[in-house]
Amino acid sequence: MTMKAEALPLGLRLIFFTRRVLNRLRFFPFTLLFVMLSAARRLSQLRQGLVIVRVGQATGKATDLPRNVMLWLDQVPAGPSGYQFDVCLHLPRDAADANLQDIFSTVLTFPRFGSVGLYWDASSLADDLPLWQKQNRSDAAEDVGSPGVKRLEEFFHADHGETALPIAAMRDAETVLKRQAGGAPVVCLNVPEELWSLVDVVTRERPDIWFVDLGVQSSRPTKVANYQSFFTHGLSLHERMALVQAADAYVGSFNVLGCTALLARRLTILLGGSSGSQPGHIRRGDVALWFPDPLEPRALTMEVLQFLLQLRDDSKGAHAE
Amino acid sequence: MTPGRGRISSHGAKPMIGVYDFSYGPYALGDALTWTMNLNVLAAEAGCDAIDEYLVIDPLRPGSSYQPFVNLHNYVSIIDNLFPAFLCSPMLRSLKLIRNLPSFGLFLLREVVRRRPMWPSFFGHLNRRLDFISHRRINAHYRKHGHLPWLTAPRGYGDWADAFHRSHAKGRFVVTVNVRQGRLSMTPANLYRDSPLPEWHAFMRRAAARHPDTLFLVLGGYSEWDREMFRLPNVLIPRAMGFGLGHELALLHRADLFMGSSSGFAAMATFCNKPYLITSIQRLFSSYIDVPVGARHYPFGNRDQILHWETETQDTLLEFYEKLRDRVRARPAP
Repeated sequence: MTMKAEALPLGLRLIFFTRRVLNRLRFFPFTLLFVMLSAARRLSQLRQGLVIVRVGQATGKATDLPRNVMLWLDQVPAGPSGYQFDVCLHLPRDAADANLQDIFSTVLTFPRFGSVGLYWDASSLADDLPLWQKQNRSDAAEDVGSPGVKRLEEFFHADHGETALPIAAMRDAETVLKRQAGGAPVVCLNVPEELWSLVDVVTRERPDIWFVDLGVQSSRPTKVANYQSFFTHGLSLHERMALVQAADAYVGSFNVLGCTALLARRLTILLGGSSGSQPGHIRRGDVALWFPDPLEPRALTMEVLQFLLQLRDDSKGAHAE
Repeated sequence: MTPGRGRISSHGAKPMIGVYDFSYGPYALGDALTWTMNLNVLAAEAGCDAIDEYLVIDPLRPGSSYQPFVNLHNYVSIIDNLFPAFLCSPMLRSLKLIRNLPSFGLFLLREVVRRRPMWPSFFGHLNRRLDFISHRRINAHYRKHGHLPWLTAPRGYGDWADAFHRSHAKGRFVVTVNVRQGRLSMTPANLYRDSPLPEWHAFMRRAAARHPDTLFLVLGGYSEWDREMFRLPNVLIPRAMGFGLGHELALLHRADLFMGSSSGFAAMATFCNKPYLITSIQRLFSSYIDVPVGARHYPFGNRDQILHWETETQDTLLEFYEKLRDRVRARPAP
C-alpha cells in the first residue's frame, strides 16, 4: 500500500527505512534480518485484515478460462489507492485447453494484482491459505469455471477499472496501427469462421475504416485492401489485448479480447456467450451491443454496419487543413 | 539443498520447495529449465513426490546483475513470456509468483520451520547463491541411480500437442528445430553463439528433398527466425500459427527428434530425454556439464543424443539427421 511518507507514524517510517536499507544490503546476515522483518510485517498485515485475496477454483468443466478469470478478477472491490490483492486459483491437473499461459497473462493485466498462487492440489491450497489471508475469513473458493449468462450481462453493463498492459505491448500496438491506418478509424475483428461473410461485406461497405483481424484463420475471409489479418503475426495475449485497446472499436467473440474492449470503453459488438434463448441483442447505450445467441449473418451484418456509423474518418479533413 | 525431514502434508504428499528469485536468477529459458530439472532431481533424492515452486520478483528491482536491461517497466512481459518453462515438472503441485517480499518472507520462514527440503537451501537463498547452470547434481543422480526424473510437456499442454500431431503431422517424421539467433531477439546478447542460418536453410531443403515425410517445426520467438523459413519446404512455424512457448515446449516433448544450437530449447530436449543433435556448444560450458570438449554425449545421454561442439554446416547437419532418423525409425513403437 502506498501512502505519503509524512502521513505515516514515526515508528512505521523507521521500519520502512530499515527495510529499504536491508533490501540494499543483499548479503548475510542482512538478508536474514530482511526476511524476518518482512515476515513480521506480513504477519501484522494479515492479523489486521489488511490483505485481500481472491480464491477461485476452476476444477470442473470450463470453457474459455482466461475470459472467466478476467470476469472474476474484475469483481474485486475497489480499495484505497494503491491497495493490492492476491489471487489463488485451484486448477484441474488434467486440463487439455493449453491456455495456462493466457490465464497467467490475464491475471497480470490487473494493476492492483500483487501475487498469484496456482494450485493443482486442494490440500496444498488449504495449507497455504492462512498465509494468504486472515484465518477467520471464509475459505470457500469461488467457482471461476462457468460464470453463466447473468454474470456476463453484469460485466457487460458494469463500469470497470483500468487494466495495465505491458508498456512494450501498448507501444507496439500504437505504432503498428499508426503505420497501417494513419488517423483512420480502426476496428478489431475477432469473429468465428461461420461469420466470414459479415467480414467481407462490412470491410467492403466501409473502405474508410481499417480492419484488423485477430481471429483464428485457416484462410483469408476477404481480399479488400483495408483488411489485415494478424493471426500469423505471433502475437502474445498481451499484444492482442493492446491492439484491441489501441483500436477504436471491436467486433467479435465475448472472450478475453471482447472483455478487454469493454474494459477499455471502446465501441464494442460482442457475439455469443449464451447457450439459452436470449433476446436478439442487449444494448449499453451507444457504446456496446451484445448478441448472446447466434443471429442470421445478414441481419447481424446490417446491425454491425449500423453500429459502425458512429465511426467517421476525420483524419483526411484534418490533414487537408 | 536443505536436506530436511520433509514433513508429510495432510494428504500424504511430501513436497520439495523450489525458489527462483529473479533478483539473482536470470530470466532465461535454458536456466529456468535447468533449474526445474535440478529441482526434479533433488525432489527424487529427498524422496519427495510433489514440488511447490516460488517465483519471486521485487517489482522495484526485478532483475539481477546479469540482466541490467530488466526493469520495472518491462519485467511483466519478460516473466509472461517465460512462464511456461516453469510448468515442465511432472511433480508440480503449486506455483506461486510472489511480487510482495513480506509475503514471500512469511512463506519462506514457514517452509524453514517445517524443515521441508528446499532448493536453494535457506542459507543459499540468504547468500543469494543458486547454481542454475551446472549439471553437477543431475550427473551425480544419474551415476547413482542410472536414470533421471525427466521433464515433461508444460502442465495442460500435452494433450494439445498430441492433437496437433494428429492433425498436422500424422505419419510424418517430426523434427523440432531451433537455430539460435541472438541478433534477432528482443534483447540481443552473446551474438558469437549464433548459428549460421544459411547452413540450416540449405540442410532443411536437402533433408526435405531426400526424405519428403520430414516435417520441421521451427521453434523460437517470432522475431528470432528469418523470412526464409516461410519459403522452406516441409516447415511449420508454431508461432506463426498463433501458438506460444508452452505449445512449443509441448511439441518438442512429443517430437521424434530435436535439432538446434545450444540454447533454451536444447535444454528442454536434453532434460525430456528426446533424441537430439545440439550444435555450437560453448567450450566454456564443458566444466559446468562435466563433459570434455569434443565428447559426443552427456553422462546421462544415449547414442541418439549427440553433442556437436563445432559450428554446424549443412553437410554435418544432414549426416547427423540421417543417422538419427534411421535409429529412431528402427526403434520399436511405444
